[in-house]
Amino acid sequence: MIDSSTTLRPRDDVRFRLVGTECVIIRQDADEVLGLNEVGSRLFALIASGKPIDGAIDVLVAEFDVERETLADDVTAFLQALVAAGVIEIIPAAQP
Amino acid sequence: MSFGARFLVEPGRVAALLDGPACGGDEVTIGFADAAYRFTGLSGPQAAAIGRRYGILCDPPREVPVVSARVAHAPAAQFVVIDTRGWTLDLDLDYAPTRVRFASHGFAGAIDPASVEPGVLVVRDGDDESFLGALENFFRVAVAYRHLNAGGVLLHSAGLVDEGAAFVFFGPSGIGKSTLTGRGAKSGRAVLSDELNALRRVQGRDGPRIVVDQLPFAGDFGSVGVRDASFPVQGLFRLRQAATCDVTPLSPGQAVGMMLSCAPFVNGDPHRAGRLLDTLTLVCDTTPVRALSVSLDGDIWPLLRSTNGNA
Repeated sequence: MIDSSTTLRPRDDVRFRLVGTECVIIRQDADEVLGLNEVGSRLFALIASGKPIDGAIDVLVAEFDVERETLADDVTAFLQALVAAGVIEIIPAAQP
Repeated sequence: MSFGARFLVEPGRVAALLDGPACGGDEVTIGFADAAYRFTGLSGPQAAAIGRRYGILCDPPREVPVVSARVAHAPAAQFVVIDTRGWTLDLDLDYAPTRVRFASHGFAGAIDPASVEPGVLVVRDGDDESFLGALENFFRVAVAYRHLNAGGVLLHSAGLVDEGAAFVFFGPSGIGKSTLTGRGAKSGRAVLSDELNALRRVQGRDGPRIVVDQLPFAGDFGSVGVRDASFPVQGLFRLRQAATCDVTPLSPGQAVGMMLSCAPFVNGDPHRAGRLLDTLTLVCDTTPVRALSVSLDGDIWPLLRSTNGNA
């Protein structure tokens, strides 16, 4: 389950490049190529750089004209879709 | 399923298989697209068969071989017997940082993706009939990596030359590349290949541009070609089947993604994915990539000319 404190990362078989404002993603294990639009690409780049979800939301709120609450719902849904699609995975929290 | 298990009786011993004895002492060098490929360890009949198949491209006068490969043989019993009726070629590829291995019906091989160490192709004893097919499959993989190393890319595509400039139409099998090529040939346009063409970025007088090199690999249309057959690319189009002919723009991300899916062999290699993405991004930065919808009876050429005039 994803919440605002979750940290995610691209799966091992995923390679990606930002092309202009878009992102091209290869899922090597599945022979799949995916494309993300401008906002999706920005979010994916933030997540791939290691930002936790709430940190990524902070950045997007500053960059796009959107209310935080609305954005947070959309971001969570989008990231859940990327997890389901095998593009990203949850980094398990460190054990105490 | 482990690498080679579908095609090799002892897939765990593939290293020993690839270390097999040479077929003979002959060698042939084939030159095209700014590179030369030397095959050693050939039997006399194998060398003669290559000479007949690749004709004018054999034994280039000047080029230094940039890729070499040894041809070896192994007992037929080491290859799985497959009923090939209705079978289409299926290559089992195994990617590693310093080598790419492959196996298929009656042959196996390995290449150094950096084109530094010689590759090896192992064919079945007593199967001269399939030798050229095995060699060509090895050759395609080797050429794909050689082009990637040189900053280029092979595309599953049809290439046609109209008034000195090339148009490259890419897309998956069954999308209409051969149909388009056949129509182009009928209307007098030169055919590069209806199956595989090589793109690379070169520095021109007015800045970088994309050229297409003819390859000696074709399906129903195209030929061995001529040495150094290279043409400036006037248009790069992703084919679509439709009721009417139309050209529509693609975003850079769409263009890269669509070209990526048509870059054979290397697009499944996790160790070279970054290089391939960079190469395709440069191609798309250099020349527009568009979608071309083609109808069964439509003439695309007036449309292409007007589109490129407005590029």
